[in-house]
Amino acid sequence: MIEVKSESWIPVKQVSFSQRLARFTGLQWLLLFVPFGYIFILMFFSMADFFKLSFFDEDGFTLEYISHIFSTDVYLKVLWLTLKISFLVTVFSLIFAYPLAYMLVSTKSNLWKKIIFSAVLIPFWISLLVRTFSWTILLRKNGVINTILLDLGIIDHPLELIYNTTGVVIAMTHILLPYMVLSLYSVMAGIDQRLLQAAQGMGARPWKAFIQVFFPLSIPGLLSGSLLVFVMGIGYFITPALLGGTNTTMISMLIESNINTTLNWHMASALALVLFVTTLILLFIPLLLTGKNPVLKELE
Amino acid sequence: MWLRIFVGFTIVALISPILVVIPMSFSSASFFEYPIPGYSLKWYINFFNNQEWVVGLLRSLTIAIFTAILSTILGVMASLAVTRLNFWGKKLFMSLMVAPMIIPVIITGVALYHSFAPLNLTNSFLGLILAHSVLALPIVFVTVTASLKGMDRNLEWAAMGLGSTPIGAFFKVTLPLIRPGVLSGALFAFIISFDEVVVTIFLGGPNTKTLPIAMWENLRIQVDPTMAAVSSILIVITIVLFLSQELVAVRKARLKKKYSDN
Repeated sequence: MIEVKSESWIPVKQVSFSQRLARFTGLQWLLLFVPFGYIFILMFFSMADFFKLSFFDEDGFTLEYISHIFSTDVYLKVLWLTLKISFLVTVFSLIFAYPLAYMLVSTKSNLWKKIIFSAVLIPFWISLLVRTFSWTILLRKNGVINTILLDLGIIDHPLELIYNTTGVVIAMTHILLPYMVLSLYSVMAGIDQRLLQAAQGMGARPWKAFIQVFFPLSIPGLLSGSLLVFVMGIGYFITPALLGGTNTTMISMLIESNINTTLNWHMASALALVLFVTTLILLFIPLLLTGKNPVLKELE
Repeated sequence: MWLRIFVGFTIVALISPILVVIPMSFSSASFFEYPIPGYSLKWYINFFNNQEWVVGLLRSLTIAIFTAILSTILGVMASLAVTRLNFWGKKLFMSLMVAPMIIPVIITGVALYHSFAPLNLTNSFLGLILAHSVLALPIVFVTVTASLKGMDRNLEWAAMGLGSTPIGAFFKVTLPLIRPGVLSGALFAFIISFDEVVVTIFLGGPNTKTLPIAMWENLRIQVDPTMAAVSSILIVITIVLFLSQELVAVRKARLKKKYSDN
């Protein structure tokens, strides 16, 4: 008997899946519309729907919630404290980040560069909760810092470092510092080091060359870094919630407690709207000044 | 000279707060006493014997893996749209894609809670994966767009000129070239999801108590020294991930060099 081939159907021409797909024109627009739809529906639609609550309640349109924020002492105090903490964090991270970034661009040793980059980036990727937890161990009344200072005889009484503004500022500076370093570095790396050499060659002292040549050129980085840290600071939640005391409520904590404790969605929405509008205004300042979107800078 | 001393001090101040947890996790005391009275492994044993921690860890890993996959697919699509298509409002589209990175997470969290609650997406894995992907998409978008811009488009044209479809050219030519960027984007997305607390506080429930939520509750209510063991494990994992990411970057640089030499 002759064995009959079981496979009787032989394709005339193999058409691959991707070739079949290519027959549909306009398919490439899915690349645009799928991610756009995803972000738009989940992020902006949700946000708009949520912000609607600050203007509309059971009785219709009202400005009661928004005006309540700006007319109640408790809320004003929270807004003021939020701005104050963010400002302090911005100033401190600038003080610590500037020399780090300067060292990164000016040093010729690769080892230093590697050390600084790891010191900045490793904490950046370590869990936020872990970093906040470390600060509770360090800053407690009988924690590491107080014990060491007492043993050295520098202080007589343990310092109040936690559950107040000090603790929040220390930990938030530590957490937001990497953003400042990276913003500064991205601008400083573009400064021509020969300008400094030229200034010194013409007789300027190194200090003067720095002040008159390098510093003015680094100002764009300084501004974008400060703005980024400040914007991230005003919306911060985890660290102030864990390290702040009863007197250090920031706006995000107020939003959370309005949702989870007092169940006042309208108030939460109004507070979130204030936070959102502040963030937007701050981000628009550089856009108006320089015509560039600071967020998209690296993609240009 | 002063600069070096100051920078040295800052580096120590950046790193030491993280390292201080590791010796604490081996302490035998029930409170975070310093100096450490004695050493033991009991907090690590506690961690692995406690269902809440272990189950939370597994949940976090599951959610982070799915988030990394979803946000990488969406992020790569958005990057391709920006670099390969011409359309009106490209800048606006780019701002929209990175917006979740800038808008305070608390607003995203509450807004998503508000719209997910009627859809029964709270207290579910799907809801958390969808929400975490919103937060992780921008970083994938930024990383992948940067690698797509650094790539030579002629190779793609060549592939298509030789009869490949755009889709085929993407998978056979483009994707292998931008793989390091895609991989690091996916890794960033994984870390963002694995560490996400704020959105999860609102969207999570008893069925989706992730590791960060277990840690958050622990820190809020009473601090159990097991927390030091958990933290040390996370620190070690992060440093390993960081180093592997560095390796990817080094390989990427080497590939680029090889490519430009030829």
